[in-house]
Amino acid sequence: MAIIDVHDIGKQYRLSGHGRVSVLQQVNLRVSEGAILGLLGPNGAGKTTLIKILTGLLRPDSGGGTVLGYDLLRQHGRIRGLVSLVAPTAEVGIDNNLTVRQNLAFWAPIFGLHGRFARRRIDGLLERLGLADKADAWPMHISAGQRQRLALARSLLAETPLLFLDEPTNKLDSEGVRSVRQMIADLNQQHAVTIILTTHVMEEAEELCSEIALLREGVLVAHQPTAELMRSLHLTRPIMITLQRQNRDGSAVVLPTPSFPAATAVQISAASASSPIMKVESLDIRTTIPALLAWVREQGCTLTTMRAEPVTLTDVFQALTEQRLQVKERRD
Amino acid sequence: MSASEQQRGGLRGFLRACRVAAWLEYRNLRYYPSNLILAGIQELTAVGVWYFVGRFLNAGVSQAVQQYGANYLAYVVIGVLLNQVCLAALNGPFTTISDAFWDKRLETYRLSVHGIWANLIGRLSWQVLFSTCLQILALLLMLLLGGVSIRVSINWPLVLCAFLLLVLSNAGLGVAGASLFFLLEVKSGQDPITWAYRYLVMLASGLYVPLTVLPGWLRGLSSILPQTYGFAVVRTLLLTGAPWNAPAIWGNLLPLAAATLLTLGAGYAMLSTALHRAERGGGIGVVV
Repeated sequence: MAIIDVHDIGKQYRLSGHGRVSVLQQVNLRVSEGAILGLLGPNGAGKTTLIKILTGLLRPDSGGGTVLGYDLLRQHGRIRGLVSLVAPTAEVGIDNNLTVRQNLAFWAPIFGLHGRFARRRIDGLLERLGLADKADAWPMHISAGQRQRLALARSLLAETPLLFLDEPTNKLDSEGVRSVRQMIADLNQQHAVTIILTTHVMEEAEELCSEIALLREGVLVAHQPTAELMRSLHLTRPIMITLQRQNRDGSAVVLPTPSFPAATAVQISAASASSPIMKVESLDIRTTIPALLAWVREQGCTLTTMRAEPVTLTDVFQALTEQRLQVKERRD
Repeated sequence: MSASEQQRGGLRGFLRACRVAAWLEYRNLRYYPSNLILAGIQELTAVGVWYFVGRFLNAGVSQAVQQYGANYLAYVVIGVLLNQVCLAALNGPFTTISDAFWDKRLETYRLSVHGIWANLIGRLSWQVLFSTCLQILALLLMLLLGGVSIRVSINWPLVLCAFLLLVLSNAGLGVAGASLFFLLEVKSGQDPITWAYRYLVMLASGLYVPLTVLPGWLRGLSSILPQTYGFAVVRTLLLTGAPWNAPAIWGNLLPLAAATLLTLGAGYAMLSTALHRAERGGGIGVVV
């Protein structure tokens, strides 16, 4: 069942003295219940505007459709009561004069929760989001990752079936990023929340999202299941590994050039006689890496370092442009 | 039971949301006790200045306020005390909307069950309550200092009724002013409605001088100000001890009630329109 089904969404903003600027053009989007959709695009692509339209906070100039079965144009008030939105920065809506628990206690009645039920819900959320030991701390005394989790906890108070996360890992350190991503996955898998996530980190979308929609200059240029999109774009990710192995007589080992599943190229070079460096171009590192590790063991080598370069959004858009040019050339 | 099933709409849920918004305002003030003290001093000073002006002028001009007990000091002090509470009601809504917008929480309020209106009313209630307490304190202080005399037998329910109507009419104007945050894109400073109203009140409502000394054209203007009627009723009740059925009471109380209904209705309609318009233009939240 489609939880979001909108078509031809267009939006323009009025600029003071400079006419109007088009932010979204004829966007069609259909998202199934239980999905995590990654909405990707560079800054100014229209991601936040699309999210505001889908939450009922902003009215589109053209197009229509339904969100959670409610009409986007006529029932946007009802949509607003059934969705949650986490803004891009952790500071949004957090009161520094209230403790972590008090912040949630403030928002609970605003979201229509009260009494024992609200207290239980707050305790549950603090526990689930790893904030129980920070319940009585001031927000300025906790980390950025914890503040982001607090913002997330506030949005989860209402337990809505549809959650919008606008760049949720923006400005977080690696630990914060890890914990927020884990929580997003848990929410989707254990609590069946459909999640729309905007990001410009391709790696994040690849890790979390079941499907990806790409926005560029207000136009939805692609919307496909993540694996399918990555495959169709033939985007390879280089995996660099350094190995250690010597023969008993101390001479360097000559390794055969192997082949791995989903790998398009394998190169072996030598930094020194006993430390060969291998570069593997992989279309799907989740398939390639286990085979690669098994091969390393088979060869009796020690793995010294391994690094997988992330695919960037620029790579994706470049590949998409190339793909389109090829299609156009073939047509011509 | 899930949270969505437990979510309370309705009046009780709304009042709870208002209470928590008022509580946040109180917490913020309590968090910085110096602000509490400074706010108190500021309010007392505003009234204190007029207490001394009133004392200075009392002997010479009291005859001009014959209908209010012929005591100019009491006349001006009661007016200023009432007006301080009115200012809290007048300025509160714009500040609330502006703060929520710039703190980037207006969208979250809009997405919640009770949202913007609960926040507006809750915060306003606290501001009015806090200001009222300070004005009562100031009045007690001035009664102790002497010179200000009020009647012993006073119809307190009617005083309360007039006071509430006066505050509500100003709150309605304040909400109408807050709507200009979106309608005229006044994103900081002051909105033209409350700004203009504040100065009109100072000039033409009988706040500092009786209406009889105003020129005819200005007196015409005074008839559209809720403060004109509110000040007249409360002063008549407190300073002359007029009975409930006195013509001076109902002649002012009824127009005040009508003005209150009008300003509240206009305020609600204007802010609702402003929020809908902001939803079209993209102005309800700061793009971050």
